[in-house]
Amino acid sequence: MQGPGVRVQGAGPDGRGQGSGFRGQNSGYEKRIDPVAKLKDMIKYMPTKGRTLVEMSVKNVLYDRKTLVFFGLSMFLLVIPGYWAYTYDGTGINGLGLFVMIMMLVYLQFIVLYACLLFGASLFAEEEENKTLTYLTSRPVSTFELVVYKYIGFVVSVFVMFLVPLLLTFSIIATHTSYSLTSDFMFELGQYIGLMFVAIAAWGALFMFFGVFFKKYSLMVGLLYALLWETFVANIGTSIKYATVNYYIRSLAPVPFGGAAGETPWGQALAAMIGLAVVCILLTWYFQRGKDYN
Amino acid sequence: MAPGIGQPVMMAQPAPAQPGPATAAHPAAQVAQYSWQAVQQYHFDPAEWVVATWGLSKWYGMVLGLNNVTLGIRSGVTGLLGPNGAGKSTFMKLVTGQIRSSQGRLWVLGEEPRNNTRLKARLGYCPEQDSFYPWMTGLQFVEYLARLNGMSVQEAGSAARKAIASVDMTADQNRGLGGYSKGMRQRIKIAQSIVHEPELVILDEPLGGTDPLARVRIMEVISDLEKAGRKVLISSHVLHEVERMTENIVLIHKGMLLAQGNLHDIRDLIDRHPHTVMVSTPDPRRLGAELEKLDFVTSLTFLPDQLTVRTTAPERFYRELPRIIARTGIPYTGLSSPDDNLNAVFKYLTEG
Repeated sequence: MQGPGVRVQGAGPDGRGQGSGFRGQNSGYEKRIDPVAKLKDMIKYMPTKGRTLVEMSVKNVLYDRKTLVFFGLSMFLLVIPGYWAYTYDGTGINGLGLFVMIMMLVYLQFIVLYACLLFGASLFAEEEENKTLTYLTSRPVSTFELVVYKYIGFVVSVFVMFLVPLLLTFSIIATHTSYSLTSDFMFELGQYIGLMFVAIAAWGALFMFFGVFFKKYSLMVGLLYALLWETFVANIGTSIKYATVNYYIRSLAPVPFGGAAGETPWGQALAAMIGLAVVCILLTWYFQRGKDYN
Repeated sequence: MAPGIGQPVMMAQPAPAQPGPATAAHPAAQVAQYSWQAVQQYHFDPAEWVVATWGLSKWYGMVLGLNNVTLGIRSGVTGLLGPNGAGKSTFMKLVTGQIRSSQGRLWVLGEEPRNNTRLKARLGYCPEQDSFYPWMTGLQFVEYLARLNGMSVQEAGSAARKAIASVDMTADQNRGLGGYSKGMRQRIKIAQSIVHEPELVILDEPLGGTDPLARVRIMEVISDLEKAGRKVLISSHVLHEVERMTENIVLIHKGMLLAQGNLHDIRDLIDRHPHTVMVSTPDPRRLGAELEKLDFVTSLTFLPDQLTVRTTAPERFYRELPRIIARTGIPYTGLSSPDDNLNAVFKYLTEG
């Protein structure tokens, strides 16, 4: 009666080995999951399950009221480049300078940070509260797959949410500058888009972990973290700033901003952000795996 | 001696440990009494059971959800009965691996369910809670969940339509879930639980809050599942609902297993305990005078239009009453018994 992917292990409830009376005709009494078979299953069904979970995660974000608020806010902020374009007479801040300022101050240190907090922290919490997570956890989906694919869906959807207003901001500025769309300005844009993606990935994973670890206090803890750690600590001169995501974002920024550029090589800064995301994903998996879905 | 299949197993007061040869008849009778080492020696094989538990307990902090439950569930439809808060949903969640046990062992189709994705592919679960993704239509809901079982988009689409048709929801499959009635929501939840043709279907309160028509349809679906050879585990707190679907029942109360076996055997057992019967009649004194002559009537209470009778032999009382009515011509307008329901069963089993 031993199914595929199932093997016998002899530990009793006390964790000790099986007694001699057990070995014999009826050795199939206790079956545990074979990790190799489980891994094979994961790989075999990865395309369908992964695509489905990512799709569901994207649509959960898409149909969330918070999306409307953040997207609306981002679109409203188009008045800044709009007003600049309307009044620009060749003096004052130039197009690239304005774009960097909007990108760093408005998007990366404000909207993206708080969007990651609100969406990331509620990634699992909302589904647990709505009890829809039961439908996913009662399917042959491992907690690791659930965490990874939901996270991917979240990163993609939040990224796309801000990409549209960002491109519009760029278009407005580009049409009123001496930079042509095929010049270095396009390259800068590409770099900032990449930077935004990495920031969403790092903060998203961090706040997703907050959501699972701090549960109902996650938003409060996240808010304190965003206000104190990412805003205040990242700007003080001591080495503690190395422990903030904001510092590495500024290190990666193509145009120096806020004093961090050049301090840490971009490779190390990128590795730090990817490392943070990976650690947070693993921690989320670890804590989510031990959870009860009531 | 271990009771066999079909015999009610009283669990309210467990028998003292008495080692002896196991007959592979019933783990509830065999296993509960023995230590883990003894269970191994007596060749207890969980794979022989759809669901088998051994001393299964679950606490939610200081609250007891399930207390030392040892039972075995065979193929076919099994009803898990108990009042609200009895531990039915806790049991269902343990079976589907949603929660982890605090103590004891649990096997579903021979495997331990917690974090077991391969087993979950063989299970279909219809949870009690009425929660959905608001952006989905009924068809999308079933289709997405089918895809999580490894089906391709095409396979999932066709399986979802088939499952939705089986619960008679085809006409409404493209409507948003938010616009569904309670009965429709229950049926679409059942559809998602059977879309991948699982071996074991677990339905937590599938009839809860539904209208009579939806109930009939859901009962038909469960009957169809049984005919198709599926193993079905249903929870309910309404005895007569379960009675219409299966004779195999498991009674749970306050987290404890009270009895398990054939419903008729358990009913017979219940019928042997004293009953209170209320007879509505315009002439309670005359009827009381007649009933007083019966040796199994122990007390009579008179109200203006009602006679309350306490009897030690309900079956004999129900046989005799029509004869007395026919012989004496005393009019009576109704008959009811507070003991002829699930709560009375639980009261009897817990209080003796």
